Amino acid sequence: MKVIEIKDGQINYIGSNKNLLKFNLLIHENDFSIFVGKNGCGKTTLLDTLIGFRQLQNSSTYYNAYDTVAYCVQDFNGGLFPWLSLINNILLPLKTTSNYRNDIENYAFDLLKRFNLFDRKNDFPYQLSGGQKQVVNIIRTLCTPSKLLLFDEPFSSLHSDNINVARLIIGELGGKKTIILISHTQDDLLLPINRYFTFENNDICDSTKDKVSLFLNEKY
Amino acid sequence: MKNIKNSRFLFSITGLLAIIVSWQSILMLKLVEPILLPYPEKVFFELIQFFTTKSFWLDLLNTTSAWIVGLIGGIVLGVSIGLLLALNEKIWFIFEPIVEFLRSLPSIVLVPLISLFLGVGINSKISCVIIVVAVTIISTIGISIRGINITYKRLQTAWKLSLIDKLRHIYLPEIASHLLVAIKASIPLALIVAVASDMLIATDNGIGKIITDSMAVFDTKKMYAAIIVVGFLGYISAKLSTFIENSFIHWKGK
Repeated sequence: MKVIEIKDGQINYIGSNKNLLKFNLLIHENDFSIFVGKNGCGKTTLLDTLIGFRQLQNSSTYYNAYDTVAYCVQDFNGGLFPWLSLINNILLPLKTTSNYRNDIENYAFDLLKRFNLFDRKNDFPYQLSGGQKQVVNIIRTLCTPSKLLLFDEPFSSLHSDNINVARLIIGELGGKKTIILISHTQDDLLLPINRYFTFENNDICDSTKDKVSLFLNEKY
Repeated sequence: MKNIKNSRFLFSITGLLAIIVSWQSILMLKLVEPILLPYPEKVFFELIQFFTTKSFWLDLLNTTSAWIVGLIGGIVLGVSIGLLLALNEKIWFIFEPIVEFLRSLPSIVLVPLISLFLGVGINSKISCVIIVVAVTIISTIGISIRGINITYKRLQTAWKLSLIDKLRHIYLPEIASHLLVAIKASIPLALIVAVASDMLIATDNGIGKIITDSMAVFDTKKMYAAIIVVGFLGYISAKLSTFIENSFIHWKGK
């Protein structure tokens, strides 16, 4: 079942009529997609569009089946709220929904343990290192009650041990939730993805057939 | 830590003593006439005298009530109107020039204008303080909400937060530090307007009234004593607001 579809999508540079992106995009339910591209090619802009923060140009058609989105922002320093403790940062999206779920709270505690941050759950973001803040950002995304998870370069400031743990945990959700992960490194192709997109010449190319089979299986 | 606090206190006392010694020296060297700058001990005795008279307490009550009631009223009004205007970009753009115009006006000029409408008395003074404080707070809220961290905007959009949730979890904590700075700046501003209202509006009571009355008859001892009282009020309130800021905004600058 298609959950995101953009036809003749156009996104311009802010304050300009020049196209940053001109593309088509089709995502199915529970796809695990990775988008790889160089700096400045429009990766974060695409995520901004998917959450409704930036609008496509009028000529585009856009369908998104999801209401709320779990979003792991690239700016991990600015992404955590300094007035909230780690656990309150993680549970904030959950607390703002009408249906509070204890299983998600327990999942948050479990994830904190897996990243060795459980003892620091009552600390504030300014007491953490950059990498630890990014881990909290990832945990919050995983604990946001949404079926669509967006990750914007989530491993960029993590230590290799934490990258492995994070990849493992995010990988566990493959096939269970719709995941879009932005990356600028092909290392992230080690994740159990089934869709692979690249940013080329202001376009988003579905390169799944070319690449994924090389790394994973012959599904496509 | 205790040593640092003790030495800081000692430095403050030293500064105060230095001023008194300089003051005394200027007079002993006859650099200034005592009619213009009375001896410190005479001002001090005048201060003591103040506290023994009922009229002084009435003056103090009048000025401080205009100051504090006006300050609280201005904060409440400023926060309410500020949020109402700033949460909608278009509304803010309509009202921003008016707010900035009022904020740029020297606050004292409002005093005669308001007394024209409300007449003399405490209501006029309180209204002056309310308007000046409210305009400062509205402007601060507008600027801080419009300049809110873009990542917070992304997250609140992704999570589809309701207006109440946005206010409660993001906007109010985010603007709290800016708001406390504005309140801190508003406290002396409110005091200035309260005292200036005493002086400019023909009221019967107020510390400002003591200053203008004593100046008219060249009772400079009384005038200096009243100025010291005003300064002391401002100093205590500045210390209190710094304490409140440090207690509540624990994440600031970290």
